[in-house]
Amino acid sequence: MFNQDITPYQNLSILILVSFAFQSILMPLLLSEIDGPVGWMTIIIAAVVLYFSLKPINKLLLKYKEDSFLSISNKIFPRLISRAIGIYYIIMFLIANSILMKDFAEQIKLMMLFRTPLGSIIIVILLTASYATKKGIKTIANISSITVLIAFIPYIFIMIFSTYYADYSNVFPIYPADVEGVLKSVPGAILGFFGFTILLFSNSKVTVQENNRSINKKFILFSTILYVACYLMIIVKFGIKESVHLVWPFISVMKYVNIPGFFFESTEIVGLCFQIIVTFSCICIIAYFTNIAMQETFKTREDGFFIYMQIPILYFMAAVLPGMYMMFPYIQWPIIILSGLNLLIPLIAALVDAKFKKVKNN
Amino acid sequence: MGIYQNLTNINVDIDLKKNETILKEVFKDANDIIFRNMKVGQHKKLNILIFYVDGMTTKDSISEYAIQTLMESINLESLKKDSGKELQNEILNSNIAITELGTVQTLQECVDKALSGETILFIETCSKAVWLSSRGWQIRGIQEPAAETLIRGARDGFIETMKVNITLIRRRIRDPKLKVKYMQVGRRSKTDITLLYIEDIVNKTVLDEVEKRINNIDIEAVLESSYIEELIEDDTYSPFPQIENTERPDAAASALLEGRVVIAVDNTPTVLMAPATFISFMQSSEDYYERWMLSCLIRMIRYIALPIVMLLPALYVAVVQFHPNMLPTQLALYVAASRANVPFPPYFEALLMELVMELVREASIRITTPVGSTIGLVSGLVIGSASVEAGLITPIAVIIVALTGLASFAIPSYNFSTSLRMIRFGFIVIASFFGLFGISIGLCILIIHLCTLKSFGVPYLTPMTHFVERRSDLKDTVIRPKIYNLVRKPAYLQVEKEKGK
Repeated sequence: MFNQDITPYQNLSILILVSFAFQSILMPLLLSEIDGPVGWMTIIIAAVVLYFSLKPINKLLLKYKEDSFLSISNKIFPRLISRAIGIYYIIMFLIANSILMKDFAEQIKLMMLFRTPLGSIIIVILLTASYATKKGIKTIANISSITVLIAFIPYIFIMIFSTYYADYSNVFPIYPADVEGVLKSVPGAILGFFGFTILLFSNSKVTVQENNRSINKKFILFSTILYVACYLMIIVKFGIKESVHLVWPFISVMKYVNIPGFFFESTEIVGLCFQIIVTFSCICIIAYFTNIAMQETFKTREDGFFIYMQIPILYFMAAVLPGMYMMFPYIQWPIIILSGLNLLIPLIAALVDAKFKKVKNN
Repeated sequence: MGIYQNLTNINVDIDLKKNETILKEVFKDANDIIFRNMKVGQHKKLNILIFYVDGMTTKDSISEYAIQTLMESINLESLKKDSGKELQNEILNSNIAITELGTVQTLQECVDKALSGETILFIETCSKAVWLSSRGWQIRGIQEPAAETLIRGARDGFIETMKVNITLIRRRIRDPKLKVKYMQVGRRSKTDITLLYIEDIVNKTVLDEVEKRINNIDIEAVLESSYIEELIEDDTYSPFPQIENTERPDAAASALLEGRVVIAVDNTPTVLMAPATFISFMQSSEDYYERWMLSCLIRMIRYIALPIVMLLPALYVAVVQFHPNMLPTQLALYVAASRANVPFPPYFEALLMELVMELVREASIRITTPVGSTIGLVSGLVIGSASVEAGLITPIAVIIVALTGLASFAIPSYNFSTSLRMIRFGFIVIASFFGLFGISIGLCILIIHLCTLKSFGVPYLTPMTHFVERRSDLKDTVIRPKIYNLVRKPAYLQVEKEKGK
């Protein structure tokens, strides 16, 4: 009666949450690369690219309903390639999660716990996340739904109240747009839609698979709205010149929000508490899908124990990697490669599958 | 039972002496067991043996209606020479003015019936005994439950007699679809348990699961419904209750109408309702008796009380110890000044005051009601003001703890409120290590735990975990909709019939 899989809208919550966390991290990249306040154009271009890429991918995922993307690639690619794809996703998820964790831990250290070692914060997050990951997809989906309810309502209020004392002229000039900058930052914006990669794995866990097509489209739509809204909020609040120097623009906005009757001096700490829940959920989601990627690549029956392998790896990577804001000048090419692979691998798989089917039919 | 370890294999003998000897051996040193040999029938020639437990039977009904009829009305002598079967039938079909009666084959059945308050009649030459319904003992009058008082609503409450409790529910739901299924649990106590449900509404999977779990119970005795609750709940390690309980018949009736299963246990005034969710613990019967707008307000206050109960002392510790910059300047200065002479760190101050609060609460529960409340009030005032004057704690800590205590009373379910109070200590400890970050991580752990928890297969946090799919259930959560909008049964129960509340 009460099945163990996730519902389509829980899947949507997962995808939106993951994307929101990555968009918050990658926002400085978007702000710094474009000479002018037209980053929203980049976001829309990225969304359009992803929207049209979804069509063949949806078709592929619906064809192999019970399989995640790695199981599908096992079926359509030679063994070596499918293994390579599996290893790519494992490494990519681990890097993404460690960057997220590092960035998040640094925010906490800077704003909340000045004297606590960074390693202690990272290990607390990791151990808590591993507890959730071990519980499985159903728990993670429930956490995502609750997080959306708990955190997004205050975020909406923050967005509404940030419109006070904002300089709306900061969104201009739209024309002439920095076309080169806009196009250059599209890979970063695409990477911001991290849910696009997650859906390759999460769609197979959904109870009513027929709804996945519309849910995936809704994910692109809602994430774009959220991304553009956050971007514009930062721009109208700080202006482009000031924004490019912000380390964590989304958190910084909270510092300057004027909520009538709110008596706490540091609004950003209250906002950060909600951000902790969002980012934490995101870490759990990525850790869980890393487990799935590991299980399918190494062909094991269980996936839960992989989290014990992840803990030292993630801790080490998070401790060693510099903060995202320090890496921006050096990660232009890695971002282009990562977002390119994230987009192209499933597209190629969809094309190969379609071609293979045609050959078979002939 | 001495030499007669297993009476199940021993049938009722046609020789009364033999039956009496065995039963006397079984009930050796039990002075409340009564055996009475009599000669009955119109000519007083038929020997019978009456066997019952003193104090559990209504002697009047047996002597007035059963024995008198046997002595005067029935011509048993004429049947004496015939088979025992006809003798029994004669008694069963006689004019004995007792509503329930029947026959039993083995001595074990006789013992069980007698211990339930029935009277057993052994008849010479009969290989079966006759039992006569004679249950009767002193029962407490129906009163308003002390722990669930309402401003508006019925004043009756469940008592320790299960059958009375079932009647109280039947009076509210006069529907033949209301089913009452008897069960028995406890190797020694043989406690009667009743499952109540409405046949065409209840979720059959939940019902089967409840039944299966009760049948699987292997325990010596069930003295309270909490035994059953603990033995059938999904996760015994969780601090949160997964089965709701009530002493109010209207609350039980409402649960039945929602499609839930009610478990009534004999000798306890508390009935259990399954499945239960986080939301159901935040609802009270009175919400539906008051006007909807007022009920909405009250519910919202309850949801504000929830984080206060859990987090306020922890937030005090976190803000004072780690993030004083969050406070408005004047307040921060006042806190700093008031803490200047306090020798303890904020976390110790909070833990100390919480401990005092729990001690006062426990003391006032244990002491008789009028004195208890006075002691609670006086000790709270005296200890609070004396501690502040002695410079042991700050006045703000007293306010925080008092507010937390007050908020805990706003949670309608005592069980649930106790769980929140327990968790509060964990939050204080974690806040003392990591401040607001610790509280956020604590909340994450709590959310993970609650997301994993289920009550008979129903996710504990439903409908929040499925807020799009089960958005119709969200209507009756933080607010209370109008009665005529409550036409749908809760979707999370996936009841048989959707409409018709």
